[in-house]
Amino acid sequence: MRNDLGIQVSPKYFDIMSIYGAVFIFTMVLFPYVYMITRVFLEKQSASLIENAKLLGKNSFEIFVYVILPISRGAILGGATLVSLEVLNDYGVAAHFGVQTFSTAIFKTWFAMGDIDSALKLAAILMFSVFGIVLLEKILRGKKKYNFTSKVRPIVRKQLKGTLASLAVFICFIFFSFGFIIPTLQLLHWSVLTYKKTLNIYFIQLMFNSVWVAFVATLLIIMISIVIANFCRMEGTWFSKLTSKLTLVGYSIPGAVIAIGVILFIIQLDHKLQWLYKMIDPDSITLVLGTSIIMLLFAYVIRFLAVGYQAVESGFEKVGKKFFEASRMLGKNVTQTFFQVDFPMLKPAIISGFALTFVDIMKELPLTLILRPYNFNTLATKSYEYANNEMIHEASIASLIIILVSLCAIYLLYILGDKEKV
Amino acid sequence: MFIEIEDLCFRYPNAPKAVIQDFSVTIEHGEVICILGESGGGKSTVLRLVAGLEIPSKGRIKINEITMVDQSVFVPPEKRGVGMVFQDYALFPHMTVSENIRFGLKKMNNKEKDFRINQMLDLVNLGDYGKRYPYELSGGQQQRVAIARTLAPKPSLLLLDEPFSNLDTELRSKIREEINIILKQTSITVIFVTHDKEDAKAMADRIVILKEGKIVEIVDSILF
Ligand SMILES: Nc1ncnc2c1ncn2[C@@H]1O[C@H](COP(=O)(O)OP(=O)(O)O)[C@@H](O)[C@H]1O
Ligand SMILES: [Mg+2]
Repeated sequence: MRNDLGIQVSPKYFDIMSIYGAVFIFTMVLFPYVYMITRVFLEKQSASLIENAKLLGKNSFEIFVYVILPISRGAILGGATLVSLEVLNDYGVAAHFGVQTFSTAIFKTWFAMGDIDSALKLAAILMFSVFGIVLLEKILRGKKKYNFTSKVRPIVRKQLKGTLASLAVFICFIFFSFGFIIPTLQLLHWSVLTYKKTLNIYFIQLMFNSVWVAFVATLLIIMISIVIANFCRMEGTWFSKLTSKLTLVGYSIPGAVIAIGVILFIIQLDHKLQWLYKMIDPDSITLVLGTSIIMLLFAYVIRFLAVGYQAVESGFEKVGKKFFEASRMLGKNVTQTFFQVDFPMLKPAIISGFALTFVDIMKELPLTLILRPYNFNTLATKSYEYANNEMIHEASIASLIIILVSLCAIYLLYILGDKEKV
Repeated sequence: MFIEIEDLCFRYPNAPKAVIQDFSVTIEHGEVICILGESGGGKSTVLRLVAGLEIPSKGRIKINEITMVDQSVFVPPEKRGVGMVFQDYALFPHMTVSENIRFGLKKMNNKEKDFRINQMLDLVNLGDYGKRYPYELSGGQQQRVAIARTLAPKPSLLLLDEPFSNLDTELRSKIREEINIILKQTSITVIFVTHDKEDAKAMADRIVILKEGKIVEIVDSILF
């Protein structure tokens, strides 16, 4: 990249293939997590909060330190927690930049060295760090809940002027360029260089694999989410609440850990089901599930259930119970009511849940790498393989397609969001 | 007796004490009964129990000599032949006015359904509004659609939950008149709930005064 831009920097000062490079990439890419969560939170707060502080004689800086920062603490922490979990889950960036993390170490001990015990120990330590982070968030957040219902007039963003305005735009632009524009342009450039070599029948197969695996897993997740969310709506018991909380756990567990758990579970299941396999086919292999795509689908469902569930649940929350009850009073039973009333009204929530989950699964790497059947590649694993074999240029088209699919999903969400406002 | 409610008791799952205690009343065919009481007194809960949206912990409800609920029987809401107009109307937002009314019609061919829909729209004075969506109507119009939707399948009992609470005072007496006329035309049995004495006196034949889940007294509205 540097050569393309004609810049020469001594590698001694600027070696991007290091832990600093990885930190830089994570910062640029994960910046929106904290920014968006905090921004959405602040937009929901009442303007009188700031006006009162002004009337009490505080200047802008004091208001920022004594009012804005304390009330946004929860939102900022929430964003930061997501970032930490995202980094712990990451495999691709760390592996590519040659940084030793728990995730890469688990891979190495398990697959290169076949040392299952050590891999399990690493996974356990990694899980402890995850619990540590989640616990830390709870403690730092404290008991105070700044949940203001006085949404009379939301905070209006201050219009910056002159140098400050340019500075703010510039900072956002930097994150946007390094996180999105520059990599995309670079990928476009590389794909022009390599499309003759990589675009072939095999590539179509890759796309097909990616899409149908993500599609099936997403469909499963959405159906499970609907069942659980509906169950919670109908009975507000502790059991339903616990189930709803449990669906969220998977998203905080790093992919490498889920992969190990799923492998061990499926292998056991395969051994338990031996009698069945032998009954159907006497020459059956031992690991039927363990060598099939079912193992990967199962892991996707565990890891990404939270994404689909949260979207579907918020839909159920918005729709509530009253239309369900009205339909029952008009003579429809539970099933008729679901298809004629609940489902049409939940459609926006279901579509957005579907889009979010689908994109997340399409770009998933660690789980897919570990759990895919032999010779099964997706766009994400192929990009990784190319990049890993010093063929980063060849990885570009696959990556671009993933970006394209994500953009389509964002566009879809945007349209749905617009419709809701009517 | 058309409706017999005996010793009804009910407690919400996570609530400390019973919301309804020993609620008993009998209602005759074509009678309009009002349950009057302060907010939080359990009026909506009584309607929900009669509708079958909640299951009583004790007691019995009989409609037209058939037991709807007791210790061993539970008839689900869609099989009770009871219509209910909700406090916030609950019109399906993804359906037009006509589609909302059509929703509850059964065992008719399309022609009969269309006829019934037009009949109902005329009854509530909304003849030209069939193609509109609920959000394109005023509060009073929405309420009349809700009543039309509920009456369309010809329920044997009509439940109204605070039918006038979302309307301002001027509209209130006008709509009260209108509903009174609609109810007289259909000669249906009605239980309606309100916290407003004027509403109770203007519409009901008898008034059940409810306080903290218990019946204080049942009076004739002429004597009230
Ligand atoms: N779903 C519920 N869960 C728990 N308590 C409820 C529920 N609905 C109503 N209540 C309580 O039951 C009591 C009676 O409520 P309700 O029947 O709605 O009263 P009313 O209609 O007379 O205002 C109130 O104290 C209310 O807080
Ligand atoms: Mg009520």
